[in-house]
Amino acid sequence: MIDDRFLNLSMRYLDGMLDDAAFAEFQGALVADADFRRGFAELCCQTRELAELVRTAGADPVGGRRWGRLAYFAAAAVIVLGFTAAITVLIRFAPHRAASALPPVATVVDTDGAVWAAGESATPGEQLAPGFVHLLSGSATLEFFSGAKVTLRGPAEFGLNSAMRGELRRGLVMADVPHKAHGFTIGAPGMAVVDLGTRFSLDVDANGESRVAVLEGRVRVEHGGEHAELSIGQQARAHDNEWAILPAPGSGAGPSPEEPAIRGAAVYRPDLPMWARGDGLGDEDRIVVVPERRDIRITQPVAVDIKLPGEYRAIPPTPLPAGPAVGESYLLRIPPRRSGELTASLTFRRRVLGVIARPARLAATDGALGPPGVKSWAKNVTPRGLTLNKLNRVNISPDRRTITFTLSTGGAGEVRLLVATDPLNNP
Amino acid sequence: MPIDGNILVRSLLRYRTQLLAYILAIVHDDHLAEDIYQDVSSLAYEKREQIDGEAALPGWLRTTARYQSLRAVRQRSARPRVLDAHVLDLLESDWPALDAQDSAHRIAVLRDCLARLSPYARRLVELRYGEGVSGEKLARRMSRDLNTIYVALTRAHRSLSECVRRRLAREAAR
Repeated sequence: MIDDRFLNLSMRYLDGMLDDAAFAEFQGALVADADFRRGFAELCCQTRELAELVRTAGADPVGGRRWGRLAYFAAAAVIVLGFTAAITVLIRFAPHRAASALPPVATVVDTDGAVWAAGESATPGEQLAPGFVHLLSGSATLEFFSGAKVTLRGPAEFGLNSAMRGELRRGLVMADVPHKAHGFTIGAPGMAVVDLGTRFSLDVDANGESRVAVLEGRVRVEHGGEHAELSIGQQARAHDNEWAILPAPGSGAGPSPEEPAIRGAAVYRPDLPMWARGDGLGDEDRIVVVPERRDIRITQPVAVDIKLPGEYRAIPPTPLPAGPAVGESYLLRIPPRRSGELTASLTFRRRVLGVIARPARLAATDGALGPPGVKSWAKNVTPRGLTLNKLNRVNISPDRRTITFTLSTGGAGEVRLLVATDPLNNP
Repeated sequence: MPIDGNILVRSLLRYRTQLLAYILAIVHDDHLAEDIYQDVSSLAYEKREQIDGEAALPGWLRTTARYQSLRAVRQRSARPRVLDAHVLDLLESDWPALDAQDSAHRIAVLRDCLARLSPYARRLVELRYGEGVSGEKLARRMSRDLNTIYVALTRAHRSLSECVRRRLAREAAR
């Protein structure tokens, strides 16, 4: 059995609360004692089990009236998804058992250790009418009459609206949708996922954050009046009124494997969630460099504000063409300058093809150069652009691989860098 | 023989708790762990032809999760403390035993055990793991010092793990 001191250290480690000495003690204990290692692995597992258990403990009683939440969700849906979705939300809250007069829409095809909420049971072969099911633990596979299969992993609250629509309120589902069920949709807080012939997973956590990941094929993700198509490996998240497309691991849409060499007051943040790119960066002293898109095939030249080597104290009045080339884009969030000079240099492996510093040009290139699926940052990021003068300067090195910002005045801003990745643009 | 897509999906669900626990041990950040789990799931599906059957899956998932976790940590500007590679290597032999656990059943048992905690301890657990309130914020919210909070959480964890162990042993003896 592991002692309390080690258990305490383990929990502090998992909370990122160990100082140097305590971390050394913790690692030393793990190396020295096999029981501690086993105990630590068990603690990690119990931590996750508790998270899954406690996050469902607040689930509503099955079949109970939920008009308070109903109103909340309907209101949220009006804001986030529009009126039609609000109606869907109203429909989906019909309690499963009470709504048994409605014709069934799905069959339970398999269960594995499934524990349902009190008053509910669903065994293989049973048909389910529209309404909600509450899976406390284990897993269950439901086949909608459209042919779409969803596997729920408890704890989950999942609503069945019709043969072509489900609603995930909390938990995790994996959907396997055959061609004949093309268009099958699962709603979740802040988003609706429309299948375009695919397998995907959808997860709604206790904070109401929804996340979809495409395992195969494509899906269409809808958020309010906006939508985006995701392909294999891509993910999208929605929380409150924000949403974002996340890059696929190892895909061309991902962060650059070659982060720029940074000197001075800048930080590379490939992990920054998109909804944090506006005001909530939490990094008020440094330029935040966020990779946006890789493998951009620039067949028609793109208009950029700055391109050639030299020092710039004003944005040239005439844009220059960048490309053709293959490149990647970076968004640089500039913090407001409160005191002193901010200097930062970014050096890339290949040429900087151009700097986009005018707000209108940033907005115009969001779709083509921003992350896949994002039409515009405008509502997330204000203000945009960067004003140059004798106190705010940008320098492009002679080999065009290094860009240096020397900034002394002004509020927050934003610029986009377009950097070459093809060998033809080697300096 | 490559793993079948349906079996893979089912296995990803079955091993979710264990894989998230493994990732958490490296990145100790719940949100990041969930992201990495999704990445690993996507990669598993994409590379399923290279996975040599269901038995090889947990190992494949952990190897991939370790790589993805360390990569994610490296990309963070404020890098969390990460266990040294040789410590992670030593830990490797402890995870397979957890793969065999039925996490769904353990969670059901844990529910009963949680109900037996004192209201104060239960509240701490709910805030810490249900709402993701950090130890520091818990201390402020409960007007206790940080050490007191960790001592209380330590006791809660110990009570819970002993309760689960007792119950599972009793079930096994029947």
